[in-house]
Amino acid sequence: GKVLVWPCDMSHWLNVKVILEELIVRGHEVTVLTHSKPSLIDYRKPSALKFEVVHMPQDRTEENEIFVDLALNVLPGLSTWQSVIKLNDFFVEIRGTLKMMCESFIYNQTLMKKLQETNYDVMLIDPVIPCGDLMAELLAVPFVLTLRISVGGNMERSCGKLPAPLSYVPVPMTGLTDRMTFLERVKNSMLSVLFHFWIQDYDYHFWEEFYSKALGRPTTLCETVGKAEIWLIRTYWDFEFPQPYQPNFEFVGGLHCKPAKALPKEMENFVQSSGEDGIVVFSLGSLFQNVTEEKANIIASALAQIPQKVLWRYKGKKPSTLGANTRLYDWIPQNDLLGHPKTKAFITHGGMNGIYEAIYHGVPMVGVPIFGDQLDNIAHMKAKGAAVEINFKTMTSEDLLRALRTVITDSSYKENAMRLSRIHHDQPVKPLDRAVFWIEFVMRHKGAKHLRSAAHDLTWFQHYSIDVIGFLLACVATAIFLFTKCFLFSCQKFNKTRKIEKRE
Amino acid sequence: MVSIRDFTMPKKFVQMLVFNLTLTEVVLSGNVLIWPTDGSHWLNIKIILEELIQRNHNVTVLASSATLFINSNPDSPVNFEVIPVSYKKSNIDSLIEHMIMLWIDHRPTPLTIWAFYKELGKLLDTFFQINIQLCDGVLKNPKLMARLQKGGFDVLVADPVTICGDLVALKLGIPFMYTLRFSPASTVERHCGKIPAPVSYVPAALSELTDQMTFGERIKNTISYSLQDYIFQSYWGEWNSYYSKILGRPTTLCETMGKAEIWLIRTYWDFEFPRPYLPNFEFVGGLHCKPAKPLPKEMEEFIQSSGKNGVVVFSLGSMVKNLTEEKANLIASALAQIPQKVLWRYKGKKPATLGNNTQLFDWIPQNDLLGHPKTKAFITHGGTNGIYEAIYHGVPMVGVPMFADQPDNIAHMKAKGAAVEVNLNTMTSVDLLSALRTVINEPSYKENAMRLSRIHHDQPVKPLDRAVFWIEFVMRHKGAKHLRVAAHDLTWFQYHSLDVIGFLLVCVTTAIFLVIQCCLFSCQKFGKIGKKKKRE
Repeated sequence: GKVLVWPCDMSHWLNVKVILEELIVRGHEVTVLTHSKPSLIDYRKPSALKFEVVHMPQDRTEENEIFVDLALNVLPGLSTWQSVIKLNDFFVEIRGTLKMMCESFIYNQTLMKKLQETNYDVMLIDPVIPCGDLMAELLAVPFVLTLRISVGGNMERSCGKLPAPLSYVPVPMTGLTDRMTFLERVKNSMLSVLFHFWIQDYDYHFWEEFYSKALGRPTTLCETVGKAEIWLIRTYWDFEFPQPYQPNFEFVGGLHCKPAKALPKEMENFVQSSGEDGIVVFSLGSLFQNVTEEKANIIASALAQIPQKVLWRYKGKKPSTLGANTRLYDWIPQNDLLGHPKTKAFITHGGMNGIYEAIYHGVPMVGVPIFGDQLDNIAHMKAKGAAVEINFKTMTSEDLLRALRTVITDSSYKENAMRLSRIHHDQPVKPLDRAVFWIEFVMRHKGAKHLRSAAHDLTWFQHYSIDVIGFLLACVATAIFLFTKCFLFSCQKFNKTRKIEKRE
Repeated sequence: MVSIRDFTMPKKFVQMLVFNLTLTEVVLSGNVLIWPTDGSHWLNIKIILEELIQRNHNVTVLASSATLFINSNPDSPVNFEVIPVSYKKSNIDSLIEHMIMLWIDHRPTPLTIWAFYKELGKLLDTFFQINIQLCDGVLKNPKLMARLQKGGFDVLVADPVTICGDLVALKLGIPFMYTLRFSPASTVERHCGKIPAPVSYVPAALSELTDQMTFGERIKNTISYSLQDYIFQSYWGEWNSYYSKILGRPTTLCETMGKAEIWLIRTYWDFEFPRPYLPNFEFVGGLHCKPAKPLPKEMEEFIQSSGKNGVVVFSLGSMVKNLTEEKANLIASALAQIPQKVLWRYKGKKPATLGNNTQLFDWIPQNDLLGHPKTKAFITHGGTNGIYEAIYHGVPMVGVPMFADQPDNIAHMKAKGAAVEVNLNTMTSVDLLSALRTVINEPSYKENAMRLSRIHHDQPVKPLDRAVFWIEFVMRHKGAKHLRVAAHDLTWFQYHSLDVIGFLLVCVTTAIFLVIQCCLFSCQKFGKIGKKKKRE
């Protein structure tokens, strides 16, 4: 079949790419839409993937750099409230860019005509960049979403009709777990309402106008996204707290994970030189490869004090406190390192890809979350007993050192990591195969309407049965009212009768 | 393209090889204890345990001395442990017959629902008496319990229609899991399994509603859920005290059932309306279905004699043995008027109106018949097993539901466009004839049946394999606690966030109250100042 892929970038692309490669292996034809200046997608290199490149008027790399600087150097110095405001300002600004990008694709008549004539069987979309669903609707192609999480889980709940009882399902990005005290549940409820109205006001209203105009009829982003045939969620029950879901949600966490391959010779030698102490793998992901000099020195100072060797993915200036046991690399084969028998711990920013590689190989973690879902991800791993968290803003060398020693020497962390690994590996079908299966299913059956909950056809007051409850309450109230009236009437009549008797 | 395919083959071969090696490696020899329910429920459990044995597990079935279908066979590799009880097989027969007649005579409607549940309550009391003997026969039987302890079981698989499987598992200290079709209004799944069921689009089991409900239907659905909750709360009371006594601490039936590691639900999304569920619920509908085998020679000849017209398969299940003579004649009369040949599973007296095109059988190989290319339609009572065989083979249905989940099942199939319903109580020959002609001649019914069949066959892993996988998973991991939702540890008012809502409402109310008080105070002060000025 023919698969069309909506563009996404950075760590999101890494996930989608794995799926695309598997689709190609199975004989499907894959076309990737992209703009002219992506960060990781190399569309010029010969590939089995086909690319449709659209030129953007503005250089997007600039915004990536702005975001990195914001997350690493600006936000840490602000209070929580100031951080929220700053972040909101950034999102408002970036929204304009996203809209411009959407217009570049949707209003590109040459491109749209070409895509229409190709007759794609399915579209694969990571909704981090809106409009993929809009394009699918314009092309009349069924689409499959693949995502980790939306802000506050609002898209899954509002658009995907995923039930999320607030009493035990934590709102994403709150750092809460499924075991909540009363006050935590109050917080969960309030944040849910806050996220809901913020997202509605900030995002959905903005896109509503755009979508309605493009489709030529009144609609909402939520209604359009809600037409997804399948939602591929990049987590599983090794990571997630169990929660209700709908049959068109498929949890495929870890689909990118593979057995470890042999390391480059020099790296293997360095690893072996660690002897019985083993090694620590350290990476802050593909986006954050520079930190301030002060922060780098704090980290290096801690690393220098452990007996293990450290492989640190870092592109910045060499820290002055760097120990002999630590080596810096521009890039590391993270999955292969984590799968190495000598790896004792993984220092991670808490990106989902890295966490799943650690789960896959059973490696305990020190989490240094920075932004987005990372704080939540580390909260999950802490709750599962496989990670210790340190605060990126306030961390000291002692904090990092203590955390490392804890996860390396306290055997419960390794045991818990191995338990999650066993759970992950014990699935009837591995996640990548399931992800590809459902994409193929949608192609074979022209969608998956039999899995679409009827909740999509209800208004919000119908969905929550407010109309039924209101009706029943009205019935009860009316019955009580009538009964009371009859009773009073009877009393009154009785009194009159007595008066008559008295008079006689 | 050719080169890609050529390249693909070796990789797939390697994958297949690795998969086979993985299977070999994964196979372990576990000890499984089965807590079955009799009747058609046993047919499902039987298939699971046969598969478990096939995979080299030891299987032991706990069954009473008075069973209908569950029987030990000297040649069978299944171990049986017999639970001594004082009731007899005839008591079970009688109870089931009364249950069936209750449904047939008083099928719940808005007008008859109260009378229905009153009668049902009486039957449930009888069922309780029988079930409690089964429980006592195990739990208060030191010899049997000692043998079971010594058996070293890894997991107990229970059908919760017969209560106490969970209790036995707890006493033995082993994990347990359920296999079931449903409970009325999903009461057990909702309250004990914590599966959410929004009343706005999830029809209550037995309500005969679909997921597309009008306002009035949603009112009916809400009331249906509430009513059945009330009835089962009443019913559970007796079990709560029994469970507390056996376990030696205050507890409830529901709390204990909620400890199930996995719930295997015998439906799938070909049959079900999509609804929310939890990760420890696995939908394995159709696990009993298999490809059709060749028919006995005489039967095959009869079928071939139907020529292009094909055949109709007719069965009212394993539980219903007789119809009234009048009803049988009425049915036979309709069957006689269709051009198709009919194979009718029927043990009663031969109807006077039986046509030449119809043959009666004590028993039929239903799955093989439904899988026959000449089969045009299936007249069924709507049991889940039969419906799944029809889905598996893509055969449209005429539903003649009688009791329990059957009316609901047929409502599902009607909504999916693969069945027409006929009312057993009020049916005439014309009704049945009309229904048969519709499903046979109207192409949409066959098309819809085939669509459901394609959906059913298009699963990453077939249902029986998934059912067995999860049984093995629970053995390997000593349970599936990572799939157990935190809702089990919340009280009902915490679960529904009533405490949080109450707290927030109090906060809002207090804030409003304080604001108003401040305003009034300010006004009052201003008023006083005004008065002072006047006085001066």
